[in-house]
Amino acid sequence: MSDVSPPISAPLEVQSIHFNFLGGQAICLRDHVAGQMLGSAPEWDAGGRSVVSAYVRGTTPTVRVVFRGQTTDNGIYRIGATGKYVSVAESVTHLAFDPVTGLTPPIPFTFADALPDEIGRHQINFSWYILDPDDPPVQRPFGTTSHAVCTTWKAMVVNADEDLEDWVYYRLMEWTCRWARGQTDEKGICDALIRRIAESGLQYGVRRAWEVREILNRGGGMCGGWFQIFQQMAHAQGVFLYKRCFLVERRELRTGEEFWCALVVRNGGVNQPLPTDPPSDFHDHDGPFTGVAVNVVDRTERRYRFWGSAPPDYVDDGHCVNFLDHNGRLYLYDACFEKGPVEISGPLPPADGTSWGGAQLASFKSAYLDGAVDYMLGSVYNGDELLRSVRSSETNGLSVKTSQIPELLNGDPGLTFRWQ
Amino acid sequence: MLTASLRLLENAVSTTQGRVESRWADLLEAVHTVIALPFDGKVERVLLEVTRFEGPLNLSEASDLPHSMSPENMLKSLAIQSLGKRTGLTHLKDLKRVEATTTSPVLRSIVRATIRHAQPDKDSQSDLQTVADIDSEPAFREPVWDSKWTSGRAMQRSPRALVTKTVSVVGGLTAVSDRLPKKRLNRKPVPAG
Repeated sequence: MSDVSPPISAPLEVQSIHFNFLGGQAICLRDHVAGQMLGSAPEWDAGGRSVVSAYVRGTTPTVRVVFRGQTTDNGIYRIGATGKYVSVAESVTHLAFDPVTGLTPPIPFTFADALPDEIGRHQINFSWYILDPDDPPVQRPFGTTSHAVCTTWKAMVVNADEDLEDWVYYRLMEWTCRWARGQTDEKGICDALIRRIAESGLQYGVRRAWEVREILNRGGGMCGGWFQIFQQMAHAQGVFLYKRCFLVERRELRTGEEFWCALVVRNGGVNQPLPTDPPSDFHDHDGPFTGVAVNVVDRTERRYRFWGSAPPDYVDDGHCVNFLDHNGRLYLYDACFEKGPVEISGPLPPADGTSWGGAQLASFKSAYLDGAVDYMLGSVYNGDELLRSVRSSETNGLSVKTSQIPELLNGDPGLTFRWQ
Repeated sequence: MLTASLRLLENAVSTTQGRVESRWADLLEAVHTVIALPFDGKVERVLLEVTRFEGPLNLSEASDLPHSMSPENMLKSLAIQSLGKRTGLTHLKDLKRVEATTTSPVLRSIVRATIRHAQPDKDSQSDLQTVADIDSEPAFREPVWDSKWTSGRAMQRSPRALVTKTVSVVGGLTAVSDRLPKKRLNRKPVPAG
């Protein structure tokens, strides 16, 4: 039998610990299901609640702690906590337990150490103690608490015009802090995010989800939401990404032909083995294209069609991607199809409806589009027969291999898109 | 053809009767038809209804849906592009309301481009007639969330200033123009006392 007595317990317990209180240093995180801020209540409590908090790397946080005890134990205590990564600095405080609830008011405690100076998600365990008033070096333990804490690369920069707020959904924060761990610059962070985005489990092609919260709640969505979610992932790490959408611009020729009516993609997208649209009959032109259909191959398969079938001078659908401007270089990221970084020569496309074609699109086309968009669907003559694309009946005309569409076609740009 | 398309659109965005289930491809074709044909007061009224529509469409599943924005926003986008081309800035307040409230960045960008390219009154085909002038506030961005945990910035509103607008009606609907009312140009000073 040991002759060392077990430490005498302190006459109190930790009731709750609040990280993201008003005026604190924590980053605001929101729950995508309830829509509430996680910090609207203490992130940890004795009832079993334990949710993540987040800080910019290297921060020395202050938290607010509520203790439970009895009024007979009201008094002055020196309280602290030891931990694996960080400790809570000892603080001398007067505890007055409420006679009804047994709780103290929230009491601020500051960490003894800064959080890790790197991107990451850390599990922090605290062993709480008071110093024995009769024998000060002796610690009297009164419980342990465990906390998931994320550390980000830089502070988020609010940008109301881009819908970038001073908060992010907590899942985006947790994912990005895991995926970008060890990264030390903007491009490294974005590269890590696109490389590991499938680990989110979110899928492309989930119908009726075009917004970030919808995508999180439904497990996926369409590109109009994906380029927002990827922008917000980067935002969580203090990195700004541009959002751009290239919209199909349908041009009618005097012959009745149309260049083009839809983007056609065979790739199912992130976490999606096949496109979610039903199979359809396609008439593919795979060889060099000079404006005339040759050796057309009929194929029936599932493909996404991003229709741009509005009357000329109007736009409707297209595809959405992100751009990073890093050290004067422009990189494209397509979260939907896990593509990137794709370096694009030339300026950032505008977001004002400007039409780009021909040489303006050359780098975008060769570096990205030819690999991401398999075919461009149009209405083109195959001999004497006009293979017409009709949106209303979802009839496919001629689908021409994107990589085979030349920069100039009969003197006009082979491809044009409107940028928004 | 135009009448059927107008009716289909009207039924799809109706707020007073049960919305019939529609195929997205049919609705899209209807709005394409409407915006491609000659413009009149009825077309303008239906396009305004589409622009102001807030509820979800009752869509059948059997159709490719758009990728860059929801079907509801796609209809608004096309209606707004048409209103901008045909009526200039006559319905600027409706356009700005959509710009301020939509959660779709693509739609917002299209609305901005439409406003930027629209001519104030030149060649307007609007059937609107001025019936009154009012003082109104400029549009401001409503916060999506209402929580004390959101920073102050998101809750801040633009400084309010009174701006005189022209209110017009067509087919029982009102619209506000950014035009200065003509009567103001001839307004005589009111003697004190």
